[in-house]
Amino acid sequence: MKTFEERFTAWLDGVLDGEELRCFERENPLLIQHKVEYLKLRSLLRNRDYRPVLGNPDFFTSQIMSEIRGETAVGPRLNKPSLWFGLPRLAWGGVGVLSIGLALFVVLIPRGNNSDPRANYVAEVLNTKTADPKVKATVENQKDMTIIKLEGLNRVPPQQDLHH
Amino acid sequence: MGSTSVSFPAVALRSCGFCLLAAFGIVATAHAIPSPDPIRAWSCLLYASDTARRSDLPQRLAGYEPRLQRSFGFINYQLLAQHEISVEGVSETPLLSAGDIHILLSSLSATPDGGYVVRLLFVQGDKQEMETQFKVGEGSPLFIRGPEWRDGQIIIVVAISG
Repeated sequence: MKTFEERFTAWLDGVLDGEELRCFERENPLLIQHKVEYLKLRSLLRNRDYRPVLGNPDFFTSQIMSEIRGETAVGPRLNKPSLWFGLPRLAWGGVGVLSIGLALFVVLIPRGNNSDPRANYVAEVLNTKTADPKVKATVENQKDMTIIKLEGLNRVPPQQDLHH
Repeated sequence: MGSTSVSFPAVALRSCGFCLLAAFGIVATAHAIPSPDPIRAWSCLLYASDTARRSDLPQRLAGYEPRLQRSFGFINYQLLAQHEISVEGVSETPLLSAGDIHILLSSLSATPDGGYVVRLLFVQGDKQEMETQFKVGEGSPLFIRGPEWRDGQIIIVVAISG
């Protein structure tokens, strides 16, 4: 079954005939009165030379390009790093790491107090051996003094000068 | 369309941060690692007695008088002799000689924790009286109560420093 548009187009083109023509004209009596106007309209639409000349043919293209440019300009601005007190976050991170490093350096790197002889005193006798059996060696460990005490040594003659 | 390249200031900041960290690491390491100074062995002979003279201790034993008095029981400590040598390839190097008393350095080596292991000989006359091996920290003196002399006693002190 042909649609109305198909029958109307065929009627305008004059290819509708016979029973179809009589049936279409019976169903649409008003169309017969306006057939001349319809034919004029069809002639105008088909006539390429009658198309009006637009003053701004690229109007829609320019609108689209403006939108693209606008979106491109907004993009980089969104990636701008946020600032805290005028410095980027990365710089603050570097300052923080440097501060922590300096603090660790001060805390962990030892600095001895050389003025006090008891500070960091280390003296440990590992072994002691005497050649003479009558000479005995004992070790006395104190907190800040380690002493090897030798007993049974020969007395040094008093006239001997030990000054050097 | 728009590019996703990183801006130059951000790259420069990151580079500066890494350079600062690297510089800090180098400085901290330089301070933490001790410089390789030559090892020096020092020894002295003290005369401990109860005479009325004032004590005359060497600079290295400044502040030790009360402890010497407490440990050895004598009031007065006089410096008789002291000597210091730079240790290089030790093999029975004389460290101190005074009269018949001789202190010889038999061996010396540094330990990873900053101390020194020392082997020492104490010779009196021509007789080796004692051989000892001990570990000392930087500048920590070891005391040896030696023979009696005159009205008191000989104290031998040895210290190692780098």
